[in-house]
Amino acid sequence: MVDRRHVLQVAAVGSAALALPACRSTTRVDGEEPPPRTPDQQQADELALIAAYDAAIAGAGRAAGVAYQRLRDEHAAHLRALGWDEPPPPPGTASPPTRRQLVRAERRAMRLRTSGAGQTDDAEKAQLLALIAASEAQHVVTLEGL
Amino acid sequence: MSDALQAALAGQYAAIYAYGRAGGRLLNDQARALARSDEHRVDRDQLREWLVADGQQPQPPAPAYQLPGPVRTPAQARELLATVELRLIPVLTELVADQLDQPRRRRWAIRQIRRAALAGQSWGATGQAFPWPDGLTPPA
Repeated sequence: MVDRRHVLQVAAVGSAALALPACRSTTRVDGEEPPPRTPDQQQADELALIAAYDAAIAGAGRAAGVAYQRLRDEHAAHLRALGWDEPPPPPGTASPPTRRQLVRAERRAMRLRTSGAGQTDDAEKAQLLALIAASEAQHVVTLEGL
Repeated sequence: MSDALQAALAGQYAAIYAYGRAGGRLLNDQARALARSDEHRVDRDQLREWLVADGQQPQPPAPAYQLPGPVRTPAQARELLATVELRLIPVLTELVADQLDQPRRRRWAIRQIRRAALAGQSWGATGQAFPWPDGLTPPA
């Protein structure tokens, strides 16, 4: 014999199971999903550097490719530390940057980080940006030594 | 009172001592080491000046410093200098936060972090996503 309490439990579970997909569907149709995040200036710059290295790695020889991969991974670490945890976009079809262009991009990035570290009111962010600027200064030396 | 300024000053004393010990063991890099040692002396004087301006007594250097290892060869000398430069970074990073409301001092500390990272790299330290001494965890 099935008691009333059991029937109510089954009904409740069944309703929830039906309701959940409906809720998701309604969200999609109504366009109520949270809007995609927009990276701030520092995050956008790190994303651009990662894209540049992805393109450079694709067109590089073995030795330069290994070095580019390490620098690219360090930029990915910077990006995560800056609070951007979504994966960077897949590599595009842009022509690979030259080593000199990467040096210029790293110098530009270092200046942006230094400026940010000097302007933010957030002590931890100032420390983080100062360390990232130092890392990017090291990248310039690494690239110039290739 | 700023412990961060005193800590940064102590770091400069240690760096100057290390350059003094390592300099004689370097073969082709002595001029570079001397130039960097001079920069640390300028930094030491700057930190002393700020401490005095804040009404503090700059602490004197320690009577002696324990080196992390022997310094008998050029390679050991370079390793010591790389270590000392990277060990400056945590105290300078602390100074960035400590002097947040002093724009000139904050900018100075940010610049010194970069210079220490570059100097460490020039003595053989590996590049890092967050330049920091071995065995310690960076704040990132």
